[in-house]
Amino acid sequence: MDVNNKIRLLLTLQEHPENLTDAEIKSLMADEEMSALVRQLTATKRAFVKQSLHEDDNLVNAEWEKFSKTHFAPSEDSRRWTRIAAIFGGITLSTGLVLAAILTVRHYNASTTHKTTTAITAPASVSTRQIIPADSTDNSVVVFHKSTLDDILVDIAAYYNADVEFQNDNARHMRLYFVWKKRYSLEQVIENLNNFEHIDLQEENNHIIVK
Amino acid sequence: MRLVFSGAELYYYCMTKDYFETLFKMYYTKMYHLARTILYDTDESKDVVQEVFTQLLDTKTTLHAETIEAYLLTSVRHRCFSVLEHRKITEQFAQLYLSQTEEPITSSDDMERLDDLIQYIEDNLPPLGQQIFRLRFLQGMSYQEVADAIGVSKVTVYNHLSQTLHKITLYFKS
Repeated sequence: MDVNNKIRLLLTLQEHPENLTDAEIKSLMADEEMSALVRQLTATKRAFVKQSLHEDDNLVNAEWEKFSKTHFAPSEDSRRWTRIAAIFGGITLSTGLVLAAILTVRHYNASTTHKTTTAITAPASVSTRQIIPADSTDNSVVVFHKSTLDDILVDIAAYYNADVEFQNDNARHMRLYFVWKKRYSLEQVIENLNNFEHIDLQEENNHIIVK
Repeated sequence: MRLVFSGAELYYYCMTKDYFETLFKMYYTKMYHLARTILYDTDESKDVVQEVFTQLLDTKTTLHAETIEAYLLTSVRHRCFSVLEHRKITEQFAQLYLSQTEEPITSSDDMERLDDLIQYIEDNLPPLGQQIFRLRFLQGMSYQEVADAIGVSKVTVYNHLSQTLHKITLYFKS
């Protein structure tokens, strides 16, 4: 049987595939040429499906809503956080920045885009701290990138009128990517920081202890 | 407390809701499209992507930022295949699901190959031939239904499909 006949046979079989048994299909696919034809027909169908697909923000947002409802508590300071430590090399450093950029652009108005872009182009070796202004001071967000825990805590403590005690001196130099929302209470911020691996902070009466 | 440093290149990221939302929205479309080109069904594809993100959230594994996209796409692919494995062979044949005998390739290569094939189809198949293929294999119409829908004979439908398949075999030969 030449290929054209096999194509005709395949098309005929596709008309009523429900009439075929598993065994019949298996013996059909044992023929290498026929099995190649089926694979190519599958690839063609997949290509047509892919051609019909387009980006759909509504779908993505709806699916995110569905996901976040199931997996995160309604309030943002969810208890169900997973600790994931990621190792970032020089190249992927920018990925982290882009993630931060998208995050902030999505959540705040367009005027912040410029600041975000600046951060992306900043040299990787430089610690950056961007402040994204919002309508009111309470809603502003500070993104620390590659900042030391020391620097981060100094800023945070100043804002909440707290003081910092480093019982573990090594921890001063730990560098973090951290998003600080000023509308969070000091307690919430400390809790967020404690979600990082190897960070152990305690806070009592506006006194922050780094253990 | 013990600190682990690996030169200056070790950073700690925290999987907060905000951060996870960014990841989700960044990769959702790619993952969903991959699932659609394997399972075709919209609801099943959505379920697979939700499952992969759930697995990501629950994982205790250390993830490397540079490989996260590949990790997510590979997970989608694996889950799609495990869905397919539970299908009867006749159903797989009828729906033209991705054959299990397919050589293992990375998901991004796979998507690129499909793009190349789309380009070939657009350049080499007449619009009527493309329409007939869509109606038959994407909409699941019978040959007679396709013929009725576009007002041609059943023989014409058949001939167009033969032509399409013939051209596709030429594409794969080259």
